[in-house]
Amino acid sequence: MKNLIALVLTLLMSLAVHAEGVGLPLEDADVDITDLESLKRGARYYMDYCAGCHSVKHMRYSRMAADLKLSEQQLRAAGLMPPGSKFQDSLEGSMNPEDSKNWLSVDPPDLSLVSRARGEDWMFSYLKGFYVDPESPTGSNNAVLKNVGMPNVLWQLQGIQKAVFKQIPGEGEALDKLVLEHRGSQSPDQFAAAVNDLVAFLAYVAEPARFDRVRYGKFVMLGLLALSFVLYRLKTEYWKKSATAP
Amino acid sequence: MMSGEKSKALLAWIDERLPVSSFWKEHLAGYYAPKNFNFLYFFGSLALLVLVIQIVTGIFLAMAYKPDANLAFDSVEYIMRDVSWGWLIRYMHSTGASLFFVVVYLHMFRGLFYGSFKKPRELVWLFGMFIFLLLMAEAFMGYLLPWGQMSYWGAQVIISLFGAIPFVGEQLALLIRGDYVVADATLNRFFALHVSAIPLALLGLVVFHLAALHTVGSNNPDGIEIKANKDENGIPRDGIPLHPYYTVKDLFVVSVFLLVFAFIIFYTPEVGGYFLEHPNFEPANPMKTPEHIAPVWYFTPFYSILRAIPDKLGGVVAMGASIAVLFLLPWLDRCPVKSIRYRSGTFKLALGLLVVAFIGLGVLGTKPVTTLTTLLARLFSVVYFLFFIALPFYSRTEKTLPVPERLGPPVIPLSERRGVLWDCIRWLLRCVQNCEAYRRVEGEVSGLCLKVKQICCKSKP
Repeated sequence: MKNLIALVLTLLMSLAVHAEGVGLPLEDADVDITDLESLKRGARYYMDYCAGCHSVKHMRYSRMAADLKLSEQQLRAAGLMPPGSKFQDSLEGSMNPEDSKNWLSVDPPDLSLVSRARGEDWMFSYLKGFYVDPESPTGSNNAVLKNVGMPNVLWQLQGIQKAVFKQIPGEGEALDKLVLEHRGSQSPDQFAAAVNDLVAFLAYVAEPARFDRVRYGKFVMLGLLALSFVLYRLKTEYWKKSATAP
Repeated sequence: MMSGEKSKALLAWIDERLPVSSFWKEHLAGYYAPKNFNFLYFFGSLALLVLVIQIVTGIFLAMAYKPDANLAFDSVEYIMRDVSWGWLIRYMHSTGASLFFVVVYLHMFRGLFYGSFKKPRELVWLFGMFIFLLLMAEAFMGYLLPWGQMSYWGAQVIISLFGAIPFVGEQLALLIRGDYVVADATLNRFFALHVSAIPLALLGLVVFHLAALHTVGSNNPDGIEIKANKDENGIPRDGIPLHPYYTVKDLFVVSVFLLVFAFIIFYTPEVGGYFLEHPNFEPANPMKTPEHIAPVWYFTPFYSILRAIPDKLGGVVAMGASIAVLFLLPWLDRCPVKSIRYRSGTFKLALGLLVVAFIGLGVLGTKPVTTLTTLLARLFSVVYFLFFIALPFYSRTEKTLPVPERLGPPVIPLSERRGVLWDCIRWLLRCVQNCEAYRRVEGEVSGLCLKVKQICCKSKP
């Protein structure tokens, strides 16, 4: 009984935290995982900006190469495979979990399934949602995931954003919008496209079978349609023969 | 000729040792089913098909799955990526689980609609209800196996409910979990029950369900006993052999069902987070409660009833009662008329409200708790229970229509349907048919059909 009450309370508390965590509405990601060039660019961004801390342990370089239509040499030449790793290895991060706990107080999560757990729009908004926060240990905070332990790793591309807050009567201060204070190496449109590429890559690694299922799906559906037609004719033929049939 | 004689001899040899021919005659070619089955009658055979799909895909999943708290989540991803066709097998199993409940709920609704639970089919209904109960246990235990966040916390919440039972509750919850929280021991025992104990019991109950059905014979949309009207050979005049008539009809239905099944598997296996919930793509973390815990959609009507009651024990009792009351249905309904076709407006209204309440509870169960959802859930819970409480009182004195002696059509044509509701539908249809846009579309469609017919069939005028 006590457990149950504790559980219900935890649930309610987590709901309250959730309500507090919601900042700006999510933006629409424009992701196309059938666009291999976008996936390759996304893979490159992943290797440059994410792979230092995060892993995608359920993905192998060999599978990635096959799906992106690259050979092992091409994968290595494109910088999509760290030196020293084997072709069959999975995309493990290079940071020691002990170090990351010391430095960031959290172990960076594995990103294999983050797209299926959080959704593409969430990731797009999250990656674009960092703003300067002098009170945070990392110097930045996030509009989608408040007080997140991750620093703003894409700042060189995006530039520096500042948060503008508004007063809501009875509720206090709330995030109103993010304003670009210092431009990065990319324009806002270029940066949005870069984040879309990165999200596309993470969406692909979350379900590499998506390529297979969409490819086979139409043949299965067509086959079943033909089967339905034949079986319908068979059924009509049998029921026609029966004088007693209604 | 020789081969014909040989196969006859072989069959005779087998028949002396195993009742193959008599089984074929009694349950397929010589089993007479009413000839006016409509589409609501296909969900029984579809349920059997899904059961087979679940067992076969389950066997293949068990070959690569690891029932270990440290390995379970990763082994599912291993199936999705590294096992040949593993993704297909896994999606068939996850989609099959949800479609099993779609099919079973429609099958149960058919029972209510045409009074298939009534005398002499009480045991058919009871075995069916036990199948439903075991199916819920099977689904609940299977849902823990991927060891995602929702698997873990869903199991944590549901098992804690047993703790609310007075005196034995905590001990019972401990027995189910095998630990003080959901843990490796729970995963192991749930795996054992999910892959062997419950499927075996399910198969046994399916045999009893079918044996009981074939003893009394199938009901029909008119709720007439076709065995009461036999010809000089002892064959029901309104019956038709199950094989080949309903086997070929069911084969067609199976192919249509597989089209829906394949569409989900190949194009939308998550079904917007209803068949595969998003938080379940995160590994189970006993230290982090998900933002919103909701069971899979097929449990949400009962979960809503649980949440509607402010008292914990009361909620558990209400949820149990909402399932238990279904077992009593053959004795709660005292109306001698079976089919809804000949029953009173009161029953029709009550059944309609029950369906609305059940779907409403299901939708509310997927939403977080707010004042409005709680209020609505309470309202629908009252409607749900009121159906069963009121039934014994009004059903005895219900004003029913005279039941005909012979079967009517599978579906009553719209023009022959009586009542205000059907008058309104007819009026609406007439309005639509009279509008210009409809006529234009109709003309184009019929022209297209004619063209297709001319190209494909090449029939001579």
